[in-house]
Amino acid sequence: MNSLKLKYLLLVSCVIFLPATAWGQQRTTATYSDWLNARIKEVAKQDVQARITQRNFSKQSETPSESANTTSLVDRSSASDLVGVALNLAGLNTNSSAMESTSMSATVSLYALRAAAAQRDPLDPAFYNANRDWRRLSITFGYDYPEDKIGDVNERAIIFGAKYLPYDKRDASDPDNSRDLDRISNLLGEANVQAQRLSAAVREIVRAALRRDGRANVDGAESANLYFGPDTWGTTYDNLLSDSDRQQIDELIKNQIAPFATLTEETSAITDKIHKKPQIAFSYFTKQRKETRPDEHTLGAIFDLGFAPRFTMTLNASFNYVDNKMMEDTKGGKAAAELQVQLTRDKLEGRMPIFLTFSGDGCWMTDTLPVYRAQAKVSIPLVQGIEIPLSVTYASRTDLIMEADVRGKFGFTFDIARIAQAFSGGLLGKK
Amino acid sequence: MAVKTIRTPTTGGTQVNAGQHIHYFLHASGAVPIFNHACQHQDEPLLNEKSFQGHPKANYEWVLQRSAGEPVSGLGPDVLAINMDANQDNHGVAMSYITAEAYTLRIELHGANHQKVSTLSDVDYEKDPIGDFVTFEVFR
Repeated sequence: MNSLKLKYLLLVSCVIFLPATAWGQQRTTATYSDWLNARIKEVAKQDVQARITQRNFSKQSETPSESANTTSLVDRSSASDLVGVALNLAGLNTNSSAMESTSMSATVSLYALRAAAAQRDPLDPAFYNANRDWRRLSITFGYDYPEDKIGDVNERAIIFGAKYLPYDKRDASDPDNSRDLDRISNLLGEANVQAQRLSAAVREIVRAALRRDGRANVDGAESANLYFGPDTWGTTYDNLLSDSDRQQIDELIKNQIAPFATLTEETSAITDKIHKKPQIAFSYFTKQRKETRPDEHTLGAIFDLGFAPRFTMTLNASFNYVDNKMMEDTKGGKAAAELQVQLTRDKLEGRMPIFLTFSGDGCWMTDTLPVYRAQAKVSIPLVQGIEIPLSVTYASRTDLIMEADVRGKFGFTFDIARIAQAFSGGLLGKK
Repeated sequence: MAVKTIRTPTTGGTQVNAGQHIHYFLHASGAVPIFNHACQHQDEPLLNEKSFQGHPKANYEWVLQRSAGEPVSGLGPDVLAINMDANQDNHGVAMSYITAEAYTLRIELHGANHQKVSTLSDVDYEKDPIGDFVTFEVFR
């Protein structure tokens, strides 16, 4: 068991620290273009909450709720665009503080497999848009140990499942989103015209200051690189401009920020609008166990809907069937609901926001008493693509004992697409 | 934090002599690239992503000619041409990330036979809530 934990720690450490190394190698310079770009954004970012459509919060990397050790009671409608991996490392309950349960699952979209087979970059826009239907289907493999049987291969259940997303209005390539994207395209055009005019106006302030100081040849391409070049703009701004000049430039940017602020606000609003469009998925999951141990089958429907800013509701309904092998089979149904609340703003780049979720489910099976569970969970982002879901679950009873149980769990989730973005965006395929 | 990899930092400005043009190479990753090229003298962008056949796609190319009367010859069918309309101008490219993950923008000054004279900018742009704006002065 210790060896197993050590492997997990090594794996997690590698994934956490590799991106940090890559970022540390990035080179940043303050060219005139970069400086103006940054100043415009700094001013426009005030009171902005921006998000992008590909950061779709309904994409699930966690182990399916079919697993006994998952930190999720409720399955979401869509999976990662490429590959998602989930580890559930520990279970802390009211009777013991020791780690006792482990499960792992990997989910891969057929789109990722198709891209690999075709040797195409999955983030190539042409390929992405031409193969939308391949993102509708994802398959999951994993394993799950029952309580107190960790490491016992005879007790290990193999998880296999598939999820199909026939109705997805959150996909960036959905035609219903094209009018909103045209709006962003138009606003970006207005902002870029303003950016070029702003750049000309800032240069004029700088050139006026240079002329005031008696400097000759401040016009023309040569002077543009002498005073606005990659290696010279910092000196010009810091040493050749007065405080008054710099203040004049700041005022100019603030007075002309409207198109950028509008672009930012609309980007945020449209992203939010697309995130909250409905999704419907159907799933099948099974847990296969050795010899005479029971196999489980679950056929479910999943509905996601955002109904207010930062609030998303997910509903599950499923038919459950247990092949008991040595005795009569049991069957029944399960219903679950989850309310997801976004606690922190989405900064677009880097880590996802922190989410708090409240969920509950009920399971009614033949020949057994119903089980009701309630859960509170917080998903803490470590770095881009890696999150730790922490949960506390109350169950009216467990599979083993006829009494209420309170259990804490934590795990790691890995979204390979987002991790790849942290490296360069080109890691997944050809540039 | 928007991550940038800068191979060639953006120039402060460049002279485009007779027979020369500026060649833009944009590589996009993600779902739908949204970008445009604008200058300080026109009220509308000179081109945007929808100007290109085959949009959305990974690679976009266009050239900035000295004038409409000095067309660049030998351009591929997917390469658009736009024109300078002033002897001194600010030209720039804006990129949105609402449905894109990353862009690589390489800008080169080319001679009459498309040979590269110099690289004016070569930068990877990734994820920013607003977008990215690239600008430099162009003289003729």
